[in-house]
Amino acid sequence: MATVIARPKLPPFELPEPSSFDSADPMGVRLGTPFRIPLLSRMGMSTQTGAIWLGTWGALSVLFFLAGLGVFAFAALAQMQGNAFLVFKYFANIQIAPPDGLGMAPSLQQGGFWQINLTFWALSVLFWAARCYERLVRYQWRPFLLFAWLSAILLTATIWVFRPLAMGSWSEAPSLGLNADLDWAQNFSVLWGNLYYNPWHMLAIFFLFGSTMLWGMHGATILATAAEGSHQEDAEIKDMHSGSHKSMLFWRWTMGFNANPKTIHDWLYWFAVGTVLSSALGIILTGTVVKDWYVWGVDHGWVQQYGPMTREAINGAPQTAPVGIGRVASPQVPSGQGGQ
Amino acid sequence: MRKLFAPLLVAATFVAVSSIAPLFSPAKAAGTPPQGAPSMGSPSVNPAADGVELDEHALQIYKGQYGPVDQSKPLDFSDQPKSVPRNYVGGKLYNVQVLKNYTYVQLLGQMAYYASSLGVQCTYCHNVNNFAYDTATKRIARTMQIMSNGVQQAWVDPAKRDYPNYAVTGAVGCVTCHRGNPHMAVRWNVVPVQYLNSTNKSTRQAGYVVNSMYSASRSLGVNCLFCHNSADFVSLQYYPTNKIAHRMWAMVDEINHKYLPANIKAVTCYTCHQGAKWPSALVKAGLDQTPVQAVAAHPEYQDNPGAHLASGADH
Amino acid sequence: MLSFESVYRKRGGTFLADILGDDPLDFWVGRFYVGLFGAISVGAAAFGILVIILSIALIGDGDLVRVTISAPLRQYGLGFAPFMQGGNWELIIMFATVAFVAWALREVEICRKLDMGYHVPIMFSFAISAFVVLEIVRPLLMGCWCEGFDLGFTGHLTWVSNTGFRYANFYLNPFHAFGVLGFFLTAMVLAMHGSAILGTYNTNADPNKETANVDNFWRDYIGYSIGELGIHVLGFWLAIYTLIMSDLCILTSGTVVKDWVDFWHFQIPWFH
Repeated sequence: MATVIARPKLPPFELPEPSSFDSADPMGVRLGTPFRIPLLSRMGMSTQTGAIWLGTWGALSVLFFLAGLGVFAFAALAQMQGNAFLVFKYFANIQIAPPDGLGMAPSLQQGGFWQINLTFWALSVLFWAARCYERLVRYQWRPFLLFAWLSAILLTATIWVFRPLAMGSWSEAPSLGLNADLDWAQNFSVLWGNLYYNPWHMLAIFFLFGSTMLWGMHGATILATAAEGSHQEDAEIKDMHSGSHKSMLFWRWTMGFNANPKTIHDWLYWFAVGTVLSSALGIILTGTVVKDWYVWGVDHGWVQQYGPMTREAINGAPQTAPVGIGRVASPQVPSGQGGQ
Repeated sequence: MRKLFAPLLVAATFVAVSSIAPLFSPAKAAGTPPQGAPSMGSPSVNPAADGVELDEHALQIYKGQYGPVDQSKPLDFSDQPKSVPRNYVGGKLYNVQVLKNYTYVQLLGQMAYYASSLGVQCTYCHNVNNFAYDTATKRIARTMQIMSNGVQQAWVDPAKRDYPNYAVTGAVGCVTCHRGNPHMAVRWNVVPVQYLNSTNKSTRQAGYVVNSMYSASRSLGVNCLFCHNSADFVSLQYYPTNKIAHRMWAMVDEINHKYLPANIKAVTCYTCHQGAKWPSALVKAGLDQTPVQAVAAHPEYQDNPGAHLASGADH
Repeated sequence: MLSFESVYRKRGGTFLADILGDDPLDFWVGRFYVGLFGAISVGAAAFGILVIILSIALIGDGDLVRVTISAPLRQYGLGFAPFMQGGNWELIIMFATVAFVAWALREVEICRKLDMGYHVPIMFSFAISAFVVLEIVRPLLMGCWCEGFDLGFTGHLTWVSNTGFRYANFYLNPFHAFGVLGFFLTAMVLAMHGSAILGTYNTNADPNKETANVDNFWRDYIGYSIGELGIHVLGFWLAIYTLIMSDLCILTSGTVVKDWVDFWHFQIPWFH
């Protein structure tokens, strides 16, 4: 993809102005000095890889993250009898499991590591949120980014903390580990009647795929009109030029509707945040309010009934949908099995 | 950096090719992960942590502490049954406890069957100086014979009755599990059937069940859809295959608990099925339908028009 | 029309105009541009919707969420099935594909009119590729139309679920994992970009100063700021990456790999 604007002459490094926020922070230092990665300019990206701000909150966040990582490494080594090569070989299969019940784990091996590790990482993530807030205040941004980060934390907390609390056992949460997390997602869906029929799961997928679609649309639109400066979005919001005109008209003529340089970012933002918020809702309702999403779906008429059910009364409602509704008279096969 | 390009490319190609090459090699070793790491077919969940007694021995080959019989060991009659003669004269039957009412010729034939099914010689169970002498392997063999009869009566015959179209002739025999090896192939353990049937599982306990399902599906060479419609694993358990599997699971449980010695709970789905839907030792000769068609023709299947499965095509 | 629109509404430059000299379909209906491909797209969509309505009426299930138009049975292979045994599905797929491709070509025409780059139709083509791979390419590779997903709100979800379990554990499909990574990264980067703009627009009279502020925030926060053009480059390519991975994940299932749990049981020589 050719660059649509002339390659810019590289200006000197941009540095933030001094601020009372920065100097008041006891750990207020920027780590390292900025440097350039020239390759990035070929892709239209900024080459300055600037110094990162440490800050008290950042330092705490990194500290706790590393502590948790250390606990994970220690527990993994313990599981492999101290053999570091085996840790590497079986890395995907290593799993640090949570304890049963809601109290403290009976021992380190039986859930203690999991609890310690997650406590460190929970604190780390909350400290990062504090860092986010502090930087937003320093640069005088509206707190959209903070709300997005807190929503992501909400989803993670729902999976790892709130739902196990509601269900009465830490063992409802995933174990720590690659395959362990994937298996948790699989087992969770299998046990609770197939999460595809969970309406908030459907919403979350709608927002997730919609996010990718919107990113494709917005990214493509800006790149297509970047020659006219549509990527300078703040300037375009103040006063639209031909780039924004063309972007808006393209979509208006294509689908009859268009956003403007400001409202498109509303769409982007709320789709992204909607993903995590819907997911959180879908998770917290599973196993607590709804015990079998397929049965729930059949009872509410969402889903075809694919055969007699052995746990029809699971949600207290009698079976309502007769077999074969939504199907033609002659035998058809259940979808996804390729027919017979 | 540019000077390194060619050697790096060569190295990368070498790494790529040698990583892929084993895919084409005929031998695929099982590979036993170390203790504490999860077993095959169960990518990560460790059920032992939950107090479920899954068979740790299942991943170890049961090494004989029992046969073959040491022929040079002096005979000690202190705890032998009374029917065992001190001086054995060939051609007569003594110490026959399970295979009663067999003639001499029939018994020899049965012995030959044992030997060929297990891939052993007579010396595996017998002291050739005194064939009637009781040995540890003989005692195990008696248990095995009782088990074989019991499984046939309690599990296989009823299945033949209930599913006549696709059920099998032939009986459960030594070869069904042993397949020419005194040590059974032990592979892919499963949870006890009570564990399957209990409600109110936690998500982690569901994981043990799912792992068992992987084990079962691999043992039969099928995928999940052979018994399930994934729309709901929990409540949709109506396929004939699903019901048969329930029975088979209970059978495996009974074999493990009732017949095998306490330190060997090693029978799993794989023991008999060895990767086939129908154990080769039991397939009816001249069956005019493929097994999948026979299942599909079953009257119970017709109520569930969506129950036709193409899983056979995938494995 | 929008206040500035009349300047941009110009006839000419379309596909038919190149062939015939004058394009009779080069006009707008309200705010919608028609063009040859608009006509084809709407026409195909209309026929497809007609088939859908007819099928739903014949199936007799009034619940639009639950009703499902199933793919044909395996016995019909790659041929034509009877209308209510999958023929309707085949027709809908054909009309839908034509409609989607025509829509993309219409977008190309609009880009030419507005003198824009073709990025949007290119992106849309990747999205179409997902549909085509699922409903046409993979069934062709597998040898029957039965392999396509059923059409229906909850019906297609059951298909997805069953297809996943057909290959044991679809989470272990590496392309699926890369695709999921792409989707989640996209969502995260989207939230970051959205909050950057929504957090900073119109707060400073001097436009140049504003951009520097955004860059400095990101450099402080995560150590790097990709720039106002770069973020759109990133989003564009992330979306394409995600779609490519999705295509690959379903193309390899059932053709090359039949069991994703078993897939990982390969041996690396010097490792074992």
